[in-house]
Amino acid sequence: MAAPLLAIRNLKIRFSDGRHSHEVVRGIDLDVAAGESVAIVGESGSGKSQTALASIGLLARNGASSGSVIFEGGELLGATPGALDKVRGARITMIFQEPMTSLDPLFPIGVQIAEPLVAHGGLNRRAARQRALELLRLVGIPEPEHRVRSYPHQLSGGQRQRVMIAMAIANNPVLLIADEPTTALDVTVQAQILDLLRDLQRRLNMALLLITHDLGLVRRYASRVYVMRAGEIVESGDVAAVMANPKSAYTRALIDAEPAGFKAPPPADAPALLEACDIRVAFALPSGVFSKARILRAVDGVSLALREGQTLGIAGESGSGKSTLGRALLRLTPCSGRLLFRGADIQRLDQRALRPLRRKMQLVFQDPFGSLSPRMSVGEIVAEGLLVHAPEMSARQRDGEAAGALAEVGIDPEKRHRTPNEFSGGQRQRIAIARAMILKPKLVVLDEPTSALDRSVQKDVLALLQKLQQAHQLTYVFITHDLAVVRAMADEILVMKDGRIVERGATREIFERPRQDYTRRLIAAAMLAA
Amino acid sequence: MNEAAPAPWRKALRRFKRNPPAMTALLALMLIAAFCLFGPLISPHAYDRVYPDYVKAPASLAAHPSEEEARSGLETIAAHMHAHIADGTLQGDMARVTLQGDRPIDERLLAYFERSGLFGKPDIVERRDDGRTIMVDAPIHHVTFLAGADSNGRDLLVRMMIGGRVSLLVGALASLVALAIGIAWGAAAGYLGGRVDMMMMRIVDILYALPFIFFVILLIVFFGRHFVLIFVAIGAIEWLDMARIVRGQTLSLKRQEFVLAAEALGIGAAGVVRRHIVPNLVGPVLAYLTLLAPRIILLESFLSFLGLGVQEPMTSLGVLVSEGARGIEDSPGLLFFPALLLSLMLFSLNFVGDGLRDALDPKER
Amino acid sequence: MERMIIRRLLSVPPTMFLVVTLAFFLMRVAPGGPFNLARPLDPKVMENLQRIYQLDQPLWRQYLSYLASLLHGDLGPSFYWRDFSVSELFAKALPISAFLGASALALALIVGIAAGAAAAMRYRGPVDHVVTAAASIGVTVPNFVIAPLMQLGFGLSLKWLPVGGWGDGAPRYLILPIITLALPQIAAVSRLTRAAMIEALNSNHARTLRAYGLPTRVILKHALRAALIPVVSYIGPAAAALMTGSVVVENIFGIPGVGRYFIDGALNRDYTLVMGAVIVVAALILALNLLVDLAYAFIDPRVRHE
Repeated sequence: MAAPLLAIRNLKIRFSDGRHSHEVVRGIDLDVAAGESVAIVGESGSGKSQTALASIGLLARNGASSGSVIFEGGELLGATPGALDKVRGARITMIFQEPMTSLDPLFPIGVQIAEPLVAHGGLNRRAARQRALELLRLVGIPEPEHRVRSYPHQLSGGQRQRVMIAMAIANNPVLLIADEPTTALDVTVQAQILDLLRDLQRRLNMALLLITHDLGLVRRYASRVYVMRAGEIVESGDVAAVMANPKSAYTRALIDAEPAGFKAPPPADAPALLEACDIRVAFALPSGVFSKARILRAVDGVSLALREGQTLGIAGESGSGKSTLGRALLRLTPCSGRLLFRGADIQRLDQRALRPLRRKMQLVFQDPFGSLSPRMSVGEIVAEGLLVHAPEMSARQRDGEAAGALAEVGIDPEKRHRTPNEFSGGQRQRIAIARAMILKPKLVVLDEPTSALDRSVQKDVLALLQKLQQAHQLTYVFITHDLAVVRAMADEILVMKDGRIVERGATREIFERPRQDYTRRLIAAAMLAA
Repeated sequence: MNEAAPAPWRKALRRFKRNPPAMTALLALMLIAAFCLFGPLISPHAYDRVYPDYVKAPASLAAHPSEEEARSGLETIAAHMHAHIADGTLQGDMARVTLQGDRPIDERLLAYFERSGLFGKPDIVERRDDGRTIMVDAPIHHVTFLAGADSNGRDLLVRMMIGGRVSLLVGALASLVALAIGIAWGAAAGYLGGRVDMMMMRIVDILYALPFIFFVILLIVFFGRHFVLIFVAIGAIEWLDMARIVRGQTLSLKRQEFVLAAEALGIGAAGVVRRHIVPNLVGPVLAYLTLLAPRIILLESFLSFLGLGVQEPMTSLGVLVSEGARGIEDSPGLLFFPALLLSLMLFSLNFVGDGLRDALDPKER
Repeated sequence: MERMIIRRLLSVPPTMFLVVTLAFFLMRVAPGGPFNLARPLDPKVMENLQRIYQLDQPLWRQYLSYLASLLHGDLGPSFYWRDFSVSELFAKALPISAFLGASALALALIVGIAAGAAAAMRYRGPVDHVVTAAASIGVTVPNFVIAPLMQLGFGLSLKWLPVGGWGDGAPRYLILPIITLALPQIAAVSRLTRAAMIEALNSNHARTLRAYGLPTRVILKHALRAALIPVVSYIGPAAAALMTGSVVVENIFGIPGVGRYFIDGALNRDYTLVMGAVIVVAALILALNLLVDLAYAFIDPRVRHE
């Protein structure tokens, strides 16, 4: 068997900040053969990204690495910057998660693609520009002669990532490292980018080291996989074998964390909770002195009906208007159209009259870091709603209620004097849920509640949501871009695009017999396990 | 166990304490403040007391009058009394002087002894020749000028203390003015947003670029040099940065989801501002305040330097530096000491401000 | 892009308008000014004032004729220098101050950017520490402390340069004033540059550049371009600070510039002179800010395309 292209042996990485230091990678071994596609899969904090960065000498200043990284026979770890520079950008290239910040906003993309060509390929500037045009065509950017002079902010997220890929293949590398290349992109774009990578890999006989947290990607695009957890490799092997028969409990847990199951629809005689008719939300975009005002129709005529006990899933990509719709339903964003809550017209009420009703309709946000006030204690945050809706309660009573609410979501009530920054992302989301639940609402709108969390944490939070729904007869509106999640949580789904509903129906129907093209593309791109 | 976890303030305090330059600066600042506030109470000199005999006396630990000064002083006194010194012995705190004149000496003129500032009230020991010769015992007033005396013969050290008081006072008051205007303007712009915000900040941008100092001087020229006018004018220049910071913070806070979450709970605007916005404003505002104070002190010194600040005999560090600069050739101490105090004050404030800013920055995740 | 230029141009007149109107009304209410006099003024001055202000006309007419004379460049007679008009005085003083200020600004930018960049490249190294310490001092110590020290050091002790005065305008009279004026701005610019470059060097796109093995000079090119943005934004306030500083520097070194006239005018209660100075300076600063905004759009394409 030929020697591997890249051989990592006993790699250890340690970060220190003066007095403390901790090890993020604790001695791992990893091989990539020529032309192979290998994936490293793990959750946040597993050390997978740091492994890649350390291999090509991109570790942050306060990081130290030891071990061996042999590439094409030469030792990379500890090599001089000069030696590394010969390899980086020419033989090994890397693309990163956030294409917007990975490209320099001040230079046109043609110039940026040309730079590695000039530095490594020995081309002069003119030849490099020509080659850049070819590369843009290769990665599927339309009108490359025109685009080559554009700046990064003028391109979409997917296009920017294509530009990065163009840079990456410019000098025909033998190994491309892709660190979460599609996590920041929309679902449909994700599939395109990964297909492009696979295509280029075959054409250029390039090895691919794919770093990701998404098992679906691993299944489709890698032949071998390493599973990392807390700086160690817990399992490795052929993708098919590992997925079918995971040996490590952690791998098994990861696979199980894929949302599974489904939700039964409520009984047919369940009363109507919320009815929305022709909801429209429009924003005026800032206009200059001489330009016309433009109107952005975030929600463009949406109607829906919710019955008690239902979970209505709203699925769509970014910009589809689903979050705006969620807020409009709660009248947190002004909208036009009819809104009936339990038969009563809430559209007409002013904010003050609306306030007592707010108790019944709550919202849980996506970002567990931003949605909790940083300087309040967790107990105060959870109990804040009671200040308005139960003013007769004393401070002690409120505190007691807060403790109870926290316990119900699985947070130790003794910790309620701490501030949010002392809790993990998953815990914070639980606290946010407790904040909503303490008011005993009937309707809870969940706006991407688990999108910012790791899969395993997500699983627990989703389980919690299901438990609460049963216990308190709640009705959910579940907004997400993650089709796997919505399939498991909702009994009816609305697919949104550009502010409109593209398709709606029972969950099973949507997934087994999608009618619209867009829906089909969404489902295909989601790479769901069968 | 129900321990109250450290509030964010306490954590910030701890972080500050672990910052050596900041702690040193804080100590220095407290020492300087004590020096300026309590010093004049201990000092034997009054800040406006003129010693005509000690003009531009250099800084020294040795007491004045020196023998030479005493003798020279006696000569002057004698001349005033239309007599001359026949004999004079200086011993410790006493001077035994024999004055002799052509005509009987008018004993009322002995008042010149006290007036000189070098001596106290003399006791007549002996009279001879019909009063043409008198021998007196005069106590010598010993004074020390640790920092020297200025061109008017006033003790520099106590004037530095008074000047320091003025600088600190102006710093504090003008900061408050800047704070009040800046917070009101910035919070309004940030919270109201949209067109109002744009207009308000455009005004700030325009004002920011103008050399406001010119306007201040204009005001002073037109309306005279009132102490209150000075620090109102200075505060009116410096509010711009505060407004910018407050507005930036308010805007970013407004967009934070925890504000929206509070609204979703049904909390009204007052509650949102009180519980969510203001506590998160305090940190940056406080940090900036300590960086604002040195700028203001500098500005006041600047005005005083130009002769447009506080009026005589009141002084400020700027005035002292200005006077010192003028006399730099023969008495560099007059520049050196007040400049040193001013620089130390500004340095300490800057470092404390930097330390506060680092301590209050909740970058913990 | 053109829209942005037009928008910026349109914002200039209102500001000047504001300044000028303020000047007009302040003149009217100032005690001891031409309108509130206890004693009658020098007849020559009165005559000139009459020409500009039309003192017997209704208020709005006075305002209009004031505006008209401004547009003709007539800033009124000097109260103190009876034989001269303000414009005449400034015609001599302005070029001097402008030269001083421009040189100081150029010096500040060149040295400041170089020092800041050097410090950022050798982060936490000895160069960085020296630059940071020097910058702290430069920003804290007032220029009216530095100036006499410079005079003492270079003028009196070393006798390399003249202590002050203008003489015939020879270069050696300018060196100390320009350096003194520039020092606080060198400190400020170097701090700004250093911070901006450190951020740029630690950014994600710098990481990309390193990941592609690009040589240091390419990385520097990118980092400098990014660091220029905050520096260019600072030029406006820097110019204002230089104007302020020039008042002291011209005073101490005896340079017959606008700043010196301004202070002398302030101390002599020469109202028209002081007023004229404010108007001229404001106009200059606004013009400079306009140029800065245009430069900004040149550097940052995101602004161009908004």
